[in-house]
Amino acid sequence: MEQAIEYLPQLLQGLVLTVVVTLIVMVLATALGLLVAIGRMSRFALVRGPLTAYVEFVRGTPTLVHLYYVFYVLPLVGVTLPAVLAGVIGLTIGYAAYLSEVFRAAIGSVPLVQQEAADSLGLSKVQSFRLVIMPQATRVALPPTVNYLLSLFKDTSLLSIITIQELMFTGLLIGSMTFQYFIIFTEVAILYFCVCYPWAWLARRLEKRLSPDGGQSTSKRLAKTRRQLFMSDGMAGQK
Amino acid sequence: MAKKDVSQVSEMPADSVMHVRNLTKTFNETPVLDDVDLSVEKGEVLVLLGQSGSGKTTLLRCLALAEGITSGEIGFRGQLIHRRSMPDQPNFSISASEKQKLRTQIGIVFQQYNLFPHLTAIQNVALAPVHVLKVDRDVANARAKELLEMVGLGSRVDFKSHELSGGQQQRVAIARTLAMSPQLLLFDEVTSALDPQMTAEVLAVMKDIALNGTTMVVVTHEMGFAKHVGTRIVFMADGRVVESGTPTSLFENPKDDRTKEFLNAVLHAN
Ligand SMILES: Nc1ncnc2c1ncn2[C@@H]1O[C@H](COP(=O)(O)OP(=O)(O)OP(=O)(O)O)[C@@H](O)[C@H]1O
Ligand SMILES: [Mg+2]
Repeated sequence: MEQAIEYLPQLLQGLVLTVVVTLIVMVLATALGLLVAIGRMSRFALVRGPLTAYVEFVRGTPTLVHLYYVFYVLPLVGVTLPAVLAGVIGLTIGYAAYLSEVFRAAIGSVPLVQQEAADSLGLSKVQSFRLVIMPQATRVALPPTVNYLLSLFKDTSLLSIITIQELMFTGLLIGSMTFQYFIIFTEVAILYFCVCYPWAWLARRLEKRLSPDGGQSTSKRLAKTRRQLFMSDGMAGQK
Repeated sequence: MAKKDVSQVSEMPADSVMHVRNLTKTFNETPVLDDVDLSVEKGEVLVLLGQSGSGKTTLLRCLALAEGITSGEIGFRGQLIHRRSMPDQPNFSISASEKQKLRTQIGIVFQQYNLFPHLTAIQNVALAPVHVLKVDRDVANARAKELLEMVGLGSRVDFKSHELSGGQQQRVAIARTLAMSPQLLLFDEVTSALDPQMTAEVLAVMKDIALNGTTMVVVTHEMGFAKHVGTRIVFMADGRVVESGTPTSLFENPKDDRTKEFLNAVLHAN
């Protein structure tokens, strides 16, 4: 217990870096993802093509490979980046692609007639995207986006491999010196959880508040279906 | 100079708000509109009748500039908008930005209301005036409130579409269109998704608008409205205008067989 307290300040430092990196990647990946999503709706094949290729390629390769590429391969061609920057870029490559798919699906889920209604009122394409399509798409995109950000937060543990002193690396470092792996990784796990859990809770709240019927959260809807399922189960069981 | 010659529309009656000439529209080589001529006069309530699939929606969408044309000519208040594949006349099309501007002057109300679900009733109505006409937000809101009161929804201004009945949503949609003060209002079967009670509410609003002298083109199956509010009936079949006239002449003395058949069917159904 004393040891646990002894390691805590260092681990917390690692956690701070983990959170900072997550926030930076989150902002970059969201902005880029939105641009990619919009670019892929372009009428110019020259814009669409490369973006589609990028998204497909990235989705078909592990995040660790992206990280290694930026950290180990770029220096071979003369581009040497500080580890943290390499880590941020490596994670952004993947998450921008994932999020662009989320945004694209969300934009696609807004009925075409909404665009028609906006057009008929004389709104410009930019105005109707900003005022009509985006607000509706945001509601659809928010829950999956928050889930991706949750896994982004957890994926930052991969950065330990390229020597960034985030939470995981700090844990490994202390472990290699003290061999107190049980205490250390229990602490590491608890720290990750302490950030993730409120986030997930916040996500549910947001989803509920933003849903167009202003009403039922996923869990409530699920609970309802589950009750119905159990009811029929129960009746079958009584026979 | 040359451009002016092209865009000038000859021989249009001075009071024409919108006209189409030799309008043909094909989808995958199937003609949906076939050589349609129609001029909408200022202040008239033109009712478009015809069987399902006769091309009423397509014609209305062409008038709303929401649909490209295959050939023919469209003009708005003496100004040419499109001309394609007309004998001895050069093709012409206004720019996208001019078209966007014109669309603010032509309002369309859809069968499925198409309100913006993330906005309240008053926000739906004030959106385009604020962002397109650049009306001051307070002024736009005050006007939106007036319009919602006019359509009988003064107590529902802050409701979102999912909190409104179909008939209420449709009346918000009408107010939203009216907020742009359009020169021409198009209605495409705006009551066909509503029950009789709600239909009556919406028709009453439409009648008020008509009595205000608004120029309207109305596609509807409500024969009472066609007869009593319509000033001219145009009957379509297979993408063509087969007959037109005053409600009295067309209802009491239809000439074309298809008109007779159609009227028989709907009047007996009602
Ligand atoms: N986007 C489209 N692509 C292909 N065909 C179409 C399209 N829109 C309409 N059509 C066809 O054009 C014809 C006329 O359709 P339209 O919707 O104009 O008829 P309508 O008179 O409004 O019918 P209703 O009373 O059922 O609304 C129909 O045969 C329809 O199948
Ligand atoms: Mg129709």
